Amino acid sequence: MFDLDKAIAAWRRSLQHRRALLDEDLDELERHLRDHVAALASTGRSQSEAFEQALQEIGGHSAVESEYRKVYWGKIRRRGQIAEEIRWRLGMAAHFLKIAGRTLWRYKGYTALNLTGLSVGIACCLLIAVYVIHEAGYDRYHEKANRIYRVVMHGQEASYGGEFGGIAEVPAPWGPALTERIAAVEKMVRFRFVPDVLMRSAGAEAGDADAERPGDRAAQNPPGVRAYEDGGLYVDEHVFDVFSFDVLRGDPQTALRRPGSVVLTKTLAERYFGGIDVVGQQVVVDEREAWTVTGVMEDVPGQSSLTFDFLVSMSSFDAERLEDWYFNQFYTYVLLRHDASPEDVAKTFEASLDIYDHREIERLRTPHLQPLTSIYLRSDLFREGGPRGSAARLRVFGIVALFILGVACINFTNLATARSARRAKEIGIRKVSGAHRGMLILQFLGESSLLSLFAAVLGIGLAALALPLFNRAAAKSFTVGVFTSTDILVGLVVGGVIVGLLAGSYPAFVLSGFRPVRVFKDRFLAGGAAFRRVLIVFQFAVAGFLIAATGIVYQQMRYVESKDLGFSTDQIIVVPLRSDENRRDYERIKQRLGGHPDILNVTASGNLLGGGDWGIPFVLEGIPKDDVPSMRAMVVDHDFIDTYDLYIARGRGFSRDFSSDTTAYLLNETAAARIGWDDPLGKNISMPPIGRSEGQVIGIVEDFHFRSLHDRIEPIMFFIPQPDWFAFISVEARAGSIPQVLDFLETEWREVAPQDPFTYTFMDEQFAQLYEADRRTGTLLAGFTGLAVVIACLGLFGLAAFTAEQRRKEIGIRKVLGASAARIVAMLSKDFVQLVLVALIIAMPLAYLAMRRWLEDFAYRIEVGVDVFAVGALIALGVALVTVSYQALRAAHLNPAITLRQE
Amino acid sequence: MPSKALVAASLKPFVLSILAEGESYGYEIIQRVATLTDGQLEWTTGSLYPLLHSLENEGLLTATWRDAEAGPRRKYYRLTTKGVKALDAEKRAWMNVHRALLKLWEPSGTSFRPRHA
Repeated sequence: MFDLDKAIAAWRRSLQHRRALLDEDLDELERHLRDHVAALASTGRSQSEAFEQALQEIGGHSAVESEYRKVYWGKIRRRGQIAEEIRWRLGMAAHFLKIAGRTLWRYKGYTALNLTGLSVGIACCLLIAVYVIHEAGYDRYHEKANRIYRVVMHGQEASYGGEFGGIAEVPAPWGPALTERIAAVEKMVRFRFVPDVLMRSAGAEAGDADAERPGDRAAQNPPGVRAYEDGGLYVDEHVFDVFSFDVLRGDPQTALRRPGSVVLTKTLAERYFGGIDVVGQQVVVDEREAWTVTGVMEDVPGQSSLTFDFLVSMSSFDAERLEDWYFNQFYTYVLLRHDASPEDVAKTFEASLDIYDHREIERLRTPHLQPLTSIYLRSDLFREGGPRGSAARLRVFGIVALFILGVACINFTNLATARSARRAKEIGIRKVSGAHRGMLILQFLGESSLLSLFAAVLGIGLAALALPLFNRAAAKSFTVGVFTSTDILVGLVVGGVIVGLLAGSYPAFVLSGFRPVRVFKDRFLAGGAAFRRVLIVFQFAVAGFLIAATGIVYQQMRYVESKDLGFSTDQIIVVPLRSDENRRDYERIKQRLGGHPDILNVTASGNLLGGGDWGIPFVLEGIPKDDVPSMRAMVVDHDFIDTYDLYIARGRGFSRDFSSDTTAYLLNETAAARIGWDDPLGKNISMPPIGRSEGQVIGIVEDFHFRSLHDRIEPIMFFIPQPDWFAFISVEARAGSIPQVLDFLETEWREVAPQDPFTYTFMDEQFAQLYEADRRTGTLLAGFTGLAVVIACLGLFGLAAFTAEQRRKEIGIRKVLGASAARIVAMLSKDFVQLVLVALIIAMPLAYLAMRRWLEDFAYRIEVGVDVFAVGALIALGVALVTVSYQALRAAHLNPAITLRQE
Repeated sequence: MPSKALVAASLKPFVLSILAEGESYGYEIIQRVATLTDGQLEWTTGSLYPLLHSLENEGLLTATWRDAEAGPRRKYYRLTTKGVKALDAEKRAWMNVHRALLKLWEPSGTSFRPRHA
């Protein structure tokens, strides 16, 4: 019997929980229903028919609800219940979060895996982001950075050498000429290196507690530190108008006006005076001059393309040399007016600089403006004067960071999906008992957002922990505070929420949409599985790519470090001659330093191999100016070739038996080949600008790598210069005798040059410096590769567990039918192994292409062989197998009696 | 059957006008419209009640609950002063449209007759 009241009660129950329908709205609708049913019944229909019809006319529940929802807020407002409503909603949100938290805790394993993977990924990204932001922001701390440009020159002069057409230093008069002649140039500031000076405070006595290394301090009052400082720059007085350096003491306007004025950085002030209130005190340099401290400034920030330890007024510099239009040794920066554009200024350059006469050597020099903020990353000229980053390297790291984050996010999605699938029964029950799709979606999204936000927080923690390691690898000194910058925090929160939403949306929408009944069967996620497979492939493709890339970087580094350079750097100690006196005395010093049985050779030179080569203008006999190839120059004495184990291929080296050798030249094979003489031996070279008339080429040196292996071997020549050019004594010691040789050298030094501290470097260490950046890249890459692999494995681990669980009945049956554990492991692993293979097939060719580009930066490089890809693939495969087998083995050992019973 | 758009557009003027005659409740309003239009215009519960509530939110209507003979009570709506003004505005707007259309359909006063084949 149809019971109208019961039917209506049931109908009412099904709408009760909808927020948009208030109780009184339901009353109204019920009233309507009853009236309608009564009206229909009176036309002859049965009550149940009438009810059906009336119900239909009302419409479906969701349609009704959505209509009511449109007027809901108006109702709330009218009834003055806004505060209540909001409170209710917040309560619901809190409730969802609580449920989400409980759910996450219930599935601890998956949650832990997910958290680990994502937080590691986030930590990596964070570190890289901090690095990239730092590198990209060099020099921006200057207020007027956007108006500051550096004047550099491009020259066609052959002595500049090969591919390098540009020099960062320009002649002294250029700066003032530009300021006077071009209205758009507001101010100019020039910097010029102060040669190494021996410095001490005027209060300390010479010889008191000499420091062997800067920073060593003797505990005395006043501090008796005396050390060589090579971080000084002569600078024009307006430097503080243009650049935003923090002047702590003294008047920035006048500090660097008068000759003999020096502004110390805080570190130096503390080093020599123990404090920063030292304006008015004096420092003694080279024991012969005194400078007055007119100011103290904060140390130059790390993000600077030009760094220094102290500034000396330009007025202290030799006035005559400031007029020299020939030598280019001045870093020149100009401040343009607000409305000026560098292009317009550049156009007027040549006109304003041509007004003045050149010397007789016509050198075509093109001036060029570089924006200050672009120097650190993009400028790669001769004599840059400071460390340089590389935009390319930043891009690489950026991509690696995105890769890792991608892998971590994919992981997250995969595991979230798998986890949701596991809860299919729970979902089914919820749906059947009235939860509707919106709520389920919210719940899933809430869970994943909560998880990812938590991962973000963990990520910061991990990044902070890893900071010391990262600093070492990247040669930076970030502090934890760097993570608290607003950009980063906002980025993290936003990113965390986005990842959570994205990762959670897949399971949320897919799983909440399916029909409850199907849930109770296994293996319902056939469609989802395809997507997950794609994700696994991507993860392992990234991992495989990174493994191969790292392998190649290491191979190249090993090659570079072990390649025969064509000369010897081992066991060679270099002692610099810093003062003019020492330099003049070089012969005597050399003799003294060489007098030890364990010393095989000793030589003096004006410059050093490994990037110290000079460009000196020269004239070649019979070769027209336009055909003169670029050529570098080493200035050495007779013993250089032997000390450094260079090999004479033709002719002979410098010999004391021939007095004319002091005007002679040696060329390397590349030089001989490029010059175009039929036979170089006997041809003449002259260098009029430095007063060398013609001298003969007496020998050809076998090619050797006097620069890093990034660069092709260029032409280079050797000659013996005038005595006051010698600046280094190189001592070759017998293997294993370094300690006693060093002792000997120090003793001898103190006798021949008592007023100067003894300093030295090792040639092989200096050469190793050439590859610092590459080595750092390699280390960082290796680190991140490892992490990517770990994350990918975490994901695989979770998924393998999920699959094993899904198929436990199948496994149980197979066991019962007699399959061995090994067979079962194989069966479960087969699928994943296939995926990893596909991933590797994609990844390896890409790795090959990418690494070929990187290798092109080296003039001398390895041939990329199949071995590195094969090994990389094996590693990736092996790791995947181990990961999967663990789960497979566990599943294989489950007792079928138990697994088959479960339902 | 008039188009959905026409039905929707006429809802508000109908409701306001019917209520101008006196207070009424949802079901009664629906019946009234059916009678007025000879069954041509039929509304669903889904469109009427939300509209009533929306008009109530806007302050054009007020509602009172009254007990019914049997079963749950009824919600009676009636126009407020604001509602009366709104009705005037609806009338004017509707008549403007009507007059303009009439000019097109019955130019120079001749009445509109459908053409026969």
